[in-house]
Amino acid sequence: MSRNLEFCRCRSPFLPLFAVLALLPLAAHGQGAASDEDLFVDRAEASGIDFEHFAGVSGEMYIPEISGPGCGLFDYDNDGDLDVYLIQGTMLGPDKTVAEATLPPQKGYPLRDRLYRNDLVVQSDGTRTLKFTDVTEESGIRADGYGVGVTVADYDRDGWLDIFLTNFGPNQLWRNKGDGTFEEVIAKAGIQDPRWNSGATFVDIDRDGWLDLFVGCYLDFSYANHRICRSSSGVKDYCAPQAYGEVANRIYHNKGNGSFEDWSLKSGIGRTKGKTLGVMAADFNLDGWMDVYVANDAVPNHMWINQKDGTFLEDSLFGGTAVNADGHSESSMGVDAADFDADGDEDLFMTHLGTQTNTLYVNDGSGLFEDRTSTCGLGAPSIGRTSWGTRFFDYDNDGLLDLLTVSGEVFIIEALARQNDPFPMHQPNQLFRNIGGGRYEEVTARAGAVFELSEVSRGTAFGDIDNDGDTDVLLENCQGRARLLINEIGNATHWIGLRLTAGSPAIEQIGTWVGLHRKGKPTLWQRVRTDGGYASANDSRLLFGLGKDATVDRIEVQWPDGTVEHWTGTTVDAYTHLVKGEGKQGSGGQ
Amino acid sequence: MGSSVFSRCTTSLVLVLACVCSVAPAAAATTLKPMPTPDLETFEEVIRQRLEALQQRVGELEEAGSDGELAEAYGTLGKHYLAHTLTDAAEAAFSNARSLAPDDARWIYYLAHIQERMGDHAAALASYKRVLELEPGDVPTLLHLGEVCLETGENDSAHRYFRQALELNPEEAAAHAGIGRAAAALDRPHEAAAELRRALELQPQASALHYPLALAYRNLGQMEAARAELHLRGETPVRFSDPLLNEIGPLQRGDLIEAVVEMAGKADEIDDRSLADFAIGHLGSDPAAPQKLLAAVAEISEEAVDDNRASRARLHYVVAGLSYSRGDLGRSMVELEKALSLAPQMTDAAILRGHISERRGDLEEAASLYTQILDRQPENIDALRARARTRFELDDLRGAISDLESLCEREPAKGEHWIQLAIAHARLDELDLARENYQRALEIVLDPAEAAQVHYHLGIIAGRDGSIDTAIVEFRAAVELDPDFVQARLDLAAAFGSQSLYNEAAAAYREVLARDPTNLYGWMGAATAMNLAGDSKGAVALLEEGWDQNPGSVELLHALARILASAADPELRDGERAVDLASRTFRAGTTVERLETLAMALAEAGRFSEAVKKQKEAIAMAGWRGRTDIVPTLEANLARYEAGQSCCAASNRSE
Repeated sequence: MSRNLEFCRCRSPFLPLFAVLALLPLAAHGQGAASDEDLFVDRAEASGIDFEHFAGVSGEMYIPEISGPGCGLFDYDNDGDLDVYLIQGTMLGPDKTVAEATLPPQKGYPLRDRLYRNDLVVQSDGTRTLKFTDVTEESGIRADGYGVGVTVADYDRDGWLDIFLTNFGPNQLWRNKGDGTFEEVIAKAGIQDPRWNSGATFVDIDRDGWLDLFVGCYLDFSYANHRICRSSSGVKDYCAPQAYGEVANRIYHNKGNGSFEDWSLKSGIGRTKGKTLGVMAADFNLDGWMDVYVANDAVPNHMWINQKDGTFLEDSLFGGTAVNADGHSESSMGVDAADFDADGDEDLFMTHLGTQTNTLYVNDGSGLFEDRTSTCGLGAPSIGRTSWGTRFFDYDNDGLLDLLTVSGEVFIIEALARQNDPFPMHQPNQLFRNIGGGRYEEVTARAGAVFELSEVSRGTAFGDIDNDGDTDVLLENCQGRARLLINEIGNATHWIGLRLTAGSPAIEQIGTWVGLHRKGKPTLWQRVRTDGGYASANDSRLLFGLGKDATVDRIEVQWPDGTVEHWTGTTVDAYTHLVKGEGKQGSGGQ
Repeated sequence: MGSSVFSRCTTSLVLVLACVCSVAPAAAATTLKPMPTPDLETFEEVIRQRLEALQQRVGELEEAGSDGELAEAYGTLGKHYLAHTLTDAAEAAFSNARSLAPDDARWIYYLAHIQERMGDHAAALASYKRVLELEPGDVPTLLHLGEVCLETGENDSAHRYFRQALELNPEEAAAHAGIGRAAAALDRPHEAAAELRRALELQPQASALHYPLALAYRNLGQMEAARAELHLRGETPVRFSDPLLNEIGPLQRGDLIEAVVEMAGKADEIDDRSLADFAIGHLGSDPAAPQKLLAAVAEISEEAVDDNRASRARLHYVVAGLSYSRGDLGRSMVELEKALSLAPQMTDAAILRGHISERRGDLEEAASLYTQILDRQPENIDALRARARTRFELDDLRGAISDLESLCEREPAKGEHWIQLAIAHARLDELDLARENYQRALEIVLDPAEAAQVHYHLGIIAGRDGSIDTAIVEFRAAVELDPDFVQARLDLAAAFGSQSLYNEAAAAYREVLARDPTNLYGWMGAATAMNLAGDSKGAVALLEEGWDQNPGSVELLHALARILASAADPELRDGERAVDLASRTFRAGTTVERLETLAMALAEAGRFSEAVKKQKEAIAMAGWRGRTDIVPTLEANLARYEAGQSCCAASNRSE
């Protein structure tokens, strides 16, 4: 039975936003000065997001300066719309003060992460106004470490999304108290780690219903072992990661009482070192148990296959995802996994240095992959861009998963330095459209004015910020302004939005694998997740583009505990809330 | 990017006509690209001057040169730009060279290379094709064409180009490798495997090829072959002779040598260590670099001018660093001596000299060198770390503790300092201080493996204190953090055993065996614990199993013989087999215990006179080996054998 929001007002926090949705006019946002042809328009400033990242640059060339920040989109107040979380840096260097920054902060407020509440207004005619309010102070969040990433999930199953922050320095866990405020509980949770952490993901590794936590760690860097490197022309520059040692990642098992147990060694994960930036959980071999993919910088990547007993096996060289087709390690930053070719399994895409291509690994369904970067058309256009945040998402809702990559160098671009550019590492971002047949074409040139900007982009968070049925993007720049890329065209075609929960209070079912079956067309599969990209947290709702054909046979839901349910008659062009136990029991089939 | 002052396209018609009259007529029809004017300020003086001279040469020839001369000048400038990664400028220079000399394949080849590097594959393809028109059958061009096609997913074309290259040079490893990679992309794993194998036969050092070969085997279902190839995988790519591109590296290295020489004279801009790092990073692969740098040193006046002395000292230090990075310690030491004789206060050189002493095993000299540095610069943390390490190795534990305490004060978040300090105290039997420092280490979050080590050492200290319960708690914590920490499991088992918790001990030993079936302590310990727990039958079975798995182990053989000769349970005793097994242990030498066991076995088999003889040999050996403590037991058993009795006591001692 479909729990469509139009028929279930009492249950859905999304109702006021979706009940009247159909096709919205492109100009419905009522703000900005977008051209009719722009696919995306930056509405950050107009909607009240005035955030500017501070990297703590002092000329010392500390490598953390260029490695952040991520960002987050999640509904912290359960009011049905996505709020914005932005990671901030601080001054780097022992005893250094902000006054010593060569690139000083642009805003006067304290250097802390910021939480912006989405006060979206939807008129009865469907027009909407985006408005964000900075609620950092009243939320109680005091995240004043050197921020790297944000990960979001309801780890304590109280119905409210909590925030895990990775830092260059001690991490933080902010528990959502459900009244608009948070409390810092990392010591109570037992997951302190003062190292340089990066991407992280909440994932239920033992199918006990409690989300465990995988935390990536980047480099064995400290001020004591800091080095200054030089380019081949002798110019003072940031060091490559090869200058610092590898470190082990950690995985914490959720004990179900608000605390975690360190399973790093027990699981096998803590025994292998790397230089992790991006982290992604998925079920790569379709055995019903969540695996974890780790994107490492300059050393082989890792794919941890769940052995169903609390341990993991790393066999990515054999699996084909450790190095590229030529056998070379790449500098992986961001990573995403999704079924881009609609064959029922999750493929992998990751972003790399400009001297390398980004890489697409295609899954054969058994967890064995092939590097198909060149044949899919994603290789050549990525040369010359050092990319970070990324995601498979269907920006035009045609049923094919497209890709966004955001870029910014990690070494001084000497051509920019010679022009006295204050932060000479900026590069434009790129949008790629899935044209079917496993191929992509670059559409950056028609993506909008915001794609003409050249910035040092890092984290991206994807979600339907204005609840209009297409995917928008939050983008955070290193030493630059945050951007809110509002999708102007996605909802011109049909779509289905899904929220998947279980129990009361409603708990998001992270890891759920959902198939949208259509007659005569490939089934579209998506996984409920908040991870992916680079050190950022995404909307956990699913959004399936349907193109011009609104016909859907049934929705198949494979819950994290292995049970399978089906729904039929789901309303198109609306969000639907699927609750575990209310569908028709069935068996899985792809 | 700005316009060049020497951009020919802006030349006035009058000037062009003048040029036509005076020099070369063809130039009038040629439209050239505006040249970017890269800001060379960030370059070292020597490189800047060289590039400026080449720019000037182009400018002069624009005014008064032939197209051929100008093309050569643009091409040469392009090569130098390329060497210094001024890619945009290089691209424009080669483009102009091509315009001026359209039939000169060199400039088009370089242009194609840049286009390929910049990801402009369509342009690269067109350029390489043009090269091929001019130089039919040029193998490097065919190989590059194949690479570009592979990068763009045109796998059939790639295959064709590589095949053409192979027809021209059947021994070309890169062509075989290219065909193999194209075949893999075309889902033809049989062909891929064959071609990649051939490439590796021709160029075994191309270790990166093992990976695509492994995947080809994997896709053929030959999983073992695939895994074998993965084990051989490396990062060295397949190489081919590429004469034109090979000209670029020496240009860059030549300039870099000069740049290093110049930087050596600017101590206020770049410190000694950074200079050495720079040289190692960029010249480390050039085997001729040290000699070239020394030649440069020789050219610096030896006059006692401070600046000259400092420059020469820094260059000797750089050469020492390059030599050290290649493992040539002798050369490195010679150069360091020269550096230090010129600049005795050169701290980084002195530290490197200490490192060389360490690597040569002369720890006392190393410690002394580090002390000299610290006397001059007490704040030098590199020297302090190094001295702590060498003092520890020298067993100068008091000295090491003093250094480690300073390190802990200055780097309190480094767990390794606290652990090392604790170990030093423990070695001095200062157990309370050791414990205290281990606890400090635990307060700092460590990797689980490191934390497990700390708990283990705390357990050892507790054991030495006689606090077995605490030791058990710590060992347990260690193995929980690191389940594969075998030594901690062995000590945990032994601790259980010492508390007469034999079942727990046996279980702990079994955990060891689950992780390491070759661990003899595990087999022996488990059998002993089971025997003491009253399960002699299980102990025998376990030893049999252990011996099956470790057939070369004399220790297991001996333990089995002992238990068969002396088990409390008469049903388990088997004198003849015990004699057989015990006799075989002597192949590994004679010991008191082996003699004792053989005597036990002989007695159990009823061969008392032989038992008496062997037992007397055991007593004699115990005597001259100074093991008088066991003589009374041996004599008591001797009396039994002399009385025609076997030794039925349970095994209570083993080797």
